[in-house]
Amino acid sequence: MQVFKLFMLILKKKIKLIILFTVIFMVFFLGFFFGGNTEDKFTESRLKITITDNDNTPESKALIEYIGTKHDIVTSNIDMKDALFFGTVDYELTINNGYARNLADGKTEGLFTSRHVYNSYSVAYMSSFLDEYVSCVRACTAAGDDMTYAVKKAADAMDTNTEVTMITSEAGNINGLMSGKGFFRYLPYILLSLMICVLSPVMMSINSKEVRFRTNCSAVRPVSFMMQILLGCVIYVLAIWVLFMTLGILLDKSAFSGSGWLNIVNSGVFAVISAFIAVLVSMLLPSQQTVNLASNVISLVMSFMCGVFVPQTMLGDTVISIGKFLPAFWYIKVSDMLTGAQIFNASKAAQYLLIEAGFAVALGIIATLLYKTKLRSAEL
Amino acid sequence: MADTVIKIDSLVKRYGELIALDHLSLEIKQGEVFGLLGPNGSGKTTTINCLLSLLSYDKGTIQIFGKDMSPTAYDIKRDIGVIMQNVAVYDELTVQENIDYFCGLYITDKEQKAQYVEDAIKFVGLEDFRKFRPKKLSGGLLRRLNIACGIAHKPKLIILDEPTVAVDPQSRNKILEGIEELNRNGATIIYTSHYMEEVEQICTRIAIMDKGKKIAEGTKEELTAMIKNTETIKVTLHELPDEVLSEISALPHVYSTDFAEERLTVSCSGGKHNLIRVLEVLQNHDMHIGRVTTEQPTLNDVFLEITGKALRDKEE
Repeated sequence: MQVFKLFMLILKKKIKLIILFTVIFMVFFLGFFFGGNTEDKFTESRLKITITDNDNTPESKALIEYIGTKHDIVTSNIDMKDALFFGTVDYELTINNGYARNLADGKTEGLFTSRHVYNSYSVAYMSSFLDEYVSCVRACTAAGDDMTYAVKKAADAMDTNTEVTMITSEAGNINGLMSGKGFFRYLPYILLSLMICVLSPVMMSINSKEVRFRTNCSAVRPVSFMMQILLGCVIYVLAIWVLFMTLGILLDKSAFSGSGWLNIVNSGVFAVISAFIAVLVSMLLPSQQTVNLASNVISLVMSFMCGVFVPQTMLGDTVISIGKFLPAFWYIKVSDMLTGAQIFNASKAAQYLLIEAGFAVALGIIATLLYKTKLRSAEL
Repeated sequence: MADTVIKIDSLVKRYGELIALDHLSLEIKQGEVFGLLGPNGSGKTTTINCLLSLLSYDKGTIQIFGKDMSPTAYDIKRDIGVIMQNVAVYDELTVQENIDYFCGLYITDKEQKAQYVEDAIKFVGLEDFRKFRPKKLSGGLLRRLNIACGIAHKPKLIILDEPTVAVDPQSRNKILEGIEELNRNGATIIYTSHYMEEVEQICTRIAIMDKGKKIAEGTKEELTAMIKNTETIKVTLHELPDEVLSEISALPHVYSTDFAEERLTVSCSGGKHNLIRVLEVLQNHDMHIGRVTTEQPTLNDVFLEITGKALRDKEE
């Protein structure tokens, strides 16, 4: 078992890298996890407004009072231009003299004067707010209400909101994605990274031409050599997979209940796929210096094109078409069913898993053939 | 008569139209330091690769320790140690781990392996560097590690393929001394090189190769005796009239003379007191003699005379 020991010895030297990758991944995920999702929450913005009342009528006072319920009325000690520039004030409103009279006459022009930062969102927000208020008052006076009553009614009308609750986003169940189950959605990226960054250099080191030459001269049989390396790979893949399954359970104990056990199968198949990709990378790259680059390219491209980071429903048709030729695409399809982003369908899940397994088999065959070719070339 | 360790009979290796080995036959006896000498591309490494069954060949037979060599002859491989031109060690492992790994490919007994690894470390003088990674070692120390990895399992036959390429003179001497010690400890050595000085220094028998053929074989003395030249006299002179050069050319045993760049070169074949006779002629003509040297023929002269070209380029 000398070759197996060698594999483990070289792998041991990469342990820091494994820990680093795992910790970074977990920190990022937990950041999302505990940071909560803001997509389903809505709070009204309150602007900082200074108001000058040149009309000084009950109507203008009622307006100021109403604005005070929705925004923060502030006074500025510094020059208004500076206050607007530094953002201590969002909007300067002046209620023009004759506001109440004009409003009663049905005039809506020239009621206010304002100063604000050009083209800012607060301008649009405040202009819309004032337009809405004036329109409501006008509607009430047009209906025959007196000004005092119209002002009150307008304020009441504007306080009536339609409650909106976000149950699902375009991507599906957001809460599901940001739970322990959602953790499995991001596994392809970390599995690919960990396999390519760790397994590929180990394989490249063991199979470097010079040392292979020396091993070929020794009394070790090629089959034994290959089997010992395979054993090393299997143990590494198992260890990484078990590690992430354990982390998955720690995040959500119910992750594997019900149809959740498919997470185990799904991630297991993808771990094998990642390992085969790592083996292929080790045989195709010219030097170990290029491994990190290859890892980033493969893991990021596959993650973005297959919907690991961005939900598949948000991907364009071309990206989807290309993604179908990548194994992570089918992993995400299964994962989406388990997180609730798509309706669970056992036969479809099995179909997607089979496609994934097909990728594993194909990659395995290519890796074996390439390895044999490499062996032959090492034998001169 | 010593036992035959290696017997190569009429070995032919072709790469398409190119004949890399052309009916090569060699016999190496136990306890020999056998040198394979030849210029780059002469077929030395191809011979070694065929010998180790790393390369298939078109014709001929190879026997090692009296048995046919094949890729699956693991019992034979167990007794062979290989040290190649390129350093073949794992950068991730320390000196000790590297030697332990390569020794472990042959020795399964844990205690015996530990002892052998220790012996190998001491043999190459890497006791103070056992925890060092290869990248931390100097070129010379790295070569020593390369050798330790090849000999740790105490093989009966050690094959060294140009182990001193790009090594400083000090480390080169250390390596050559080590090879001689391995031989004294009972190992049969095959040493390939294009450095004739090294081969002359350590090899008990030498085969000179060119274009895949063995062009000469024997001890250094036997090889130099094969050629006409027995002595080359070189004298530095300011000038040399033609009549004096003709007189020297007419001396007994002198078969070639040349005067160029203020240096007279006289090649002799056999005879005694050739130098005295040449100097007498020069004195008789009141020639102002500068530096005088006399050289015995080298393997390079042997190669030059047989093939008409030098063993290696001047820059090497």
